Amino acid sequence: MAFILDELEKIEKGSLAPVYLLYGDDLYLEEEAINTLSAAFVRGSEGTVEKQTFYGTEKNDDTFIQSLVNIGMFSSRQIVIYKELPKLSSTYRKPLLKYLDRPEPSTLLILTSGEGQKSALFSSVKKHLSVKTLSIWSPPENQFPALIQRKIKKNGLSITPDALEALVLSTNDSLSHAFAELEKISVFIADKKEIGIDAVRTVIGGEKSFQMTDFLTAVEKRNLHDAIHICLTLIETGVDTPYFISSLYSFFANVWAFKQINTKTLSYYPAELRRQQYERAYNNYREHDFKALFTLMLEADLKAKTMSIKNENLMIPLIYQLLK
Amino acid sequence: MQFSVDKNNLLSHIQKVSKVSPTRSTMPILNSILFDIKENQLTLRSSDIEITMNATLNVNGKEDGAVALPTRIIYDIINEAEEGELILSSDTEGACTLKSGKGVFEIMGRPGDEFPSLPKISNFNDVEIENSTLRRMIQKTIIAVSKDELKPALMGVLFQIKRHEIRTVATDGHRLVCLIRQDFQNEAYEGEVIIPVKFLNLLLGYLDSEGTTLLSISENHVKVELDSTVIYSRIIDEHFPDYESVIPKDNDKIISMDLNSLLSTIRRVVIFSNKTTHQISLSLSKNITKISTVNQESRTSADEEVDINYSGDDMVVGYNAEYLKEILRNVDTNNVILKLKSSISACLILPEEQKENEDFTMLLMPIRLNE
Repeated sequence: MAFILDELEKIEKGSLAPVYLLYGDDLYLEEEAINTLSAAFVRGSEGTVEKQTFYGTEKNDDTFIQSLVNIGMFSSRQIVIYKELPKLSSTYRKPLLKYLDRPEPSTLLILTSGEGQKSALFSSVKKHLSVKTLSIWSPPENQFPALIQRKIKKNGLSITPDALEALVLSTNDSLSHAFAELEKISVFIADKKEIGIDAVRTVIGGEKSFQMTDFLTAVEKRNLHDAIHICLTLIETGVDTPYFISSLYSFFANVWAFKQINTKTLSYYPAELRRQQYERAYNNYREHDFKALFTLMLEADLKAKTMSIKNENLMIPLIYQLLK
Repeated sequence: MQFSVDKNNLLSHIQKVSKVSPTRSTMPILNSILFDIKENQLTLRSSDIEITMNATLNVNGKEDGAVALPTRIIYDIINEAEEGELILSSDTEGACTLKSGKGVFEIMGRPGDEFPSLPKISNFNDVEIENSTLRRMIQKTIIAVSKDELKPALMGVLFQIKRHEIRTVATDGHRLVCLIRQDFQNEAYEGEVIIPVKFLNLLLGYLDSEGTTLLSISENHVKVELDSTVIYSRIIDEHFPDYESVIPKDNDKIISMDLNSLLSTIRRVVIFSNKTTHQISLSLSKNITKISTVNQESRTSADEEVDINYSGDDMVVGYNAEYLKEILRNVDTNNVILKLKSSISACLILPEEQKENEDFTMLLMPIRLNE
């Protein structure tokens, strides 16, 4: 999948499709995509361009469909944005699909969809020939530093390496989160041109507060980086090794047990979300020897209770051995 | 506060001011009418913040004071009260007692000082307009006012006032109506204001067929005094689009046709049109136009021909039938003139003959034909 910002750079240089479908969960990328597409459309226009935004949650689908066929009085070209496409009323789905058969060159139609990508409408629109799709899912964490630096540079600022690392670690759940925090930091530093670690810590309050569930999610995904990072953060907040190990033991026991027991006939039936997590985890660890994993945890637990050893010195090797 | 008053006298004034009270408001006090008694004069006031209406009537005042009473309850009870004298009294907390015949009704109101005060306005410019002129100017233009709250400038009628000319203009971006009167004399004020449609609708209800009305215009407000009633409205403080630049000057395809034939044909054809787009097409050819619609969804279609006077090239143009009907209903001559240039540019719709000292122009944008 091409990265959205690379796609947008191409759009800035090249020609536009008449209809775009943006799908994903990152609000920053959605806004960035809409702004880039709009700017490219305006650049290619003479005179004014009218911009109208509609929301699937509001009951004005009639006006939305009407706007696609109307010719504006005060501008000959228009940008029509419809957010939350799957919420478009069923009455207006056929007229929309009909419009997509012959979209107007004087109109740039941008459709967005956060959730609901399994809907029939989404599928129909996505496979339409006139529609160009752009994924706006939040990018993986390893792309955050470059994106944040690009944004900072655009704003005429710079950031120290440690401040950048702290910002990424604290806001790695979504790009919109990262940029929202960056906005606050930019206001905080006022006239300064460089963002330092102190500014990041003051504004964001240091590390994101993690829960044990975040740690177990990282373990489930076998994401060594996140698992170690969250573990260290939790240790800083006072969580000790026995609690980690009991949580890990319980987690792996459930993962193992889940696949051993016929869930349809026996009473063991975890809640849906848990069940899904155990299933995913089992798929990630199916090649592992669960007996060896339990042995590793028991040994670490014994060490924690009998030896004077720092939590991180015990946990980091354990996590590595479990997840490798 | 205490006073007595004839039921019908009070009821008619409450009916007047209740039209301003909002049905829903984030400020509960606005769902009330203020009763303010000073000696023998009762002032009723309602407001939705944008518009405020004051109505005064003579009563037998016993004790001065003010109370805000819930509009719905006070209207209903006075409407149902026995004929004759009503006695209203209230304490400073807003507790009100209404006595009518043998009935005693307790209503919990709010202290009068909680009700929004009258807008503080100075430097009014008075513009006197004949009622018949004002009524026509409002009625003709109001149909094109936008309901889109994202375009506040279009949610009112633009009044352009000169010394010897007055214009009203309204548009929603699809239709535009402009009415100019040259038989207007005014030495006091030159300028332009966008007046909210709610105020104009209220005003229409109070305009007599004869006489004149004094429109008082300040920097932020407009005021009208009508006998015992005063209506204040905020002016829409937005930039009205450059409407003159969109009125075409070179539409050379001129069609004249019987208004009623055209309207009745459209009414029949639109029954079969798409219920979302209300799309119809006019296929123009020499002396005849075919009005058609196709709704592929319901697999219905309609075609009907109308005789016209036209000698230009053949052309097909699409319109939203609802907009076209509304515009045509605004024409008050037997024949209507349509001036076009192309299928994607604005159509001018004019009466066959302009009234004396009047220039009445309507403009309708076409829609793209995709069926």
